[in-house]
Amino acid sequence: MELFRDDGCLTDEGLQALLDGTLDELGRLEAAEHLSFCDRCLDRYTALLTGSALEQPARDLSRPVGRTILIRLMQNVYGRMVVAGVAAVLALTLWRGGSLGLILARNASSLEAYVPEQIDPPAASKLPPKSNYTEPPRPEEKTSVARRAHEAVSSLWDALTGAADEANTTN
Amino acid sequence: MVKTYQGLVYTVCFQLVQDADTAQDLAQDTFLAAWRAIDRCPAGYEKQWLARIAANKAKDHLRSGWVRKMSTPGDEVMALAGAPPDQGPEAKALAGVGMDELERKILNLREPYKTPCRLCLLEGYTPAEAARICRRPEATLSAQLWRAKKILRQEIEQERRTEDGTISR
Repeated sequence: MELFRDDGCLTDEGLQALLDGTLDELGRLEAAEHLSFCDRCLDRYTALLTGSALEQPARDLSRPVGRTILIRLMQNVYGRMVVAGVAAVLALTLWRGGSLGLILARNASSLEAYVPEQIDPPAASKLPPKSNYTEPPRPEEKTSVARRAHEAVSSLWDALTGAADEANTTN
Repeated sequence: MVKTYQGLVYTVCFQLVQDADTAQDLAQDTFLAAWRAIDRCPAGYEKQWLARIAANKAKDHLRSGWVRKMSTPGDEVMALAGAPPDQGPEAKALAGVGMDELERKILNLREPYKTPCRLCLLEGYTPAEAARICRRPEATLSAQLWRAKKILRQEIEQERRTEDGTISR
């Protein structure tokens, strides 16, 4: 029995032998290898796997699969919680020791670069004539968001430097 | 998805490995792999996609079993010693026969071994080039080439033993 045709695809009798379980180990390996990349033969094979050709596992797979997925998800969540906890403890230790203020002061200039600047509207002289001009979408809202973010970062910065100074003076 | 396709996935695994417990484990691995890559599942082709993952799992299982079975004592020592691939027992066996004899043996091989061997051993293509010509993944073609060399080596050794037996008689 030929398992493969000359063009490299599985023969009909080869597929039937796979279904019947009459292929030897090497034949099954060759068939598995071929099915792992050949779309045409995979389509032919799965088309044969219907009705009575399908076998059922001795134990229902949904439970062990669901349990393993749950365990993996929990491991993921626990892992993130542990990382967050360690980061929090480290930040608290640095803050209590007064090192946080020093680090923040050293990086102040680079931090400020990330604060969004207020966007000024273009000068009236640069605007196109009124007849062709359509209003740009909500520039005021963007500006106010940027301003609010700037204010929030500034107040956070003040609070942090104040706390660091306080910690330094108490030490 | 597990409830709908567990029969299909288990059948693919069982038909390829012919062992119920291993098929059960491989089917479970298939669904876990599918869960990790669910965003890559093409809509409407869930059956083929799962069957492909199952075939891949079965292939990896069968390949490791076949490698264990076919590795002869001394192969590991050669690999550990960092011997170049052309100095392996297969390469030595193939080098021991004439070019015409080797060509005849390669052209007598069956698919899926004949084309990769013809391209790489007779026509001088690299495995990557041969994989493109055969439209197979390079890893698959390299594995087929490796097995083909084992088959050729066994054939050559068998012939030598037969010849030696004939001469000694």
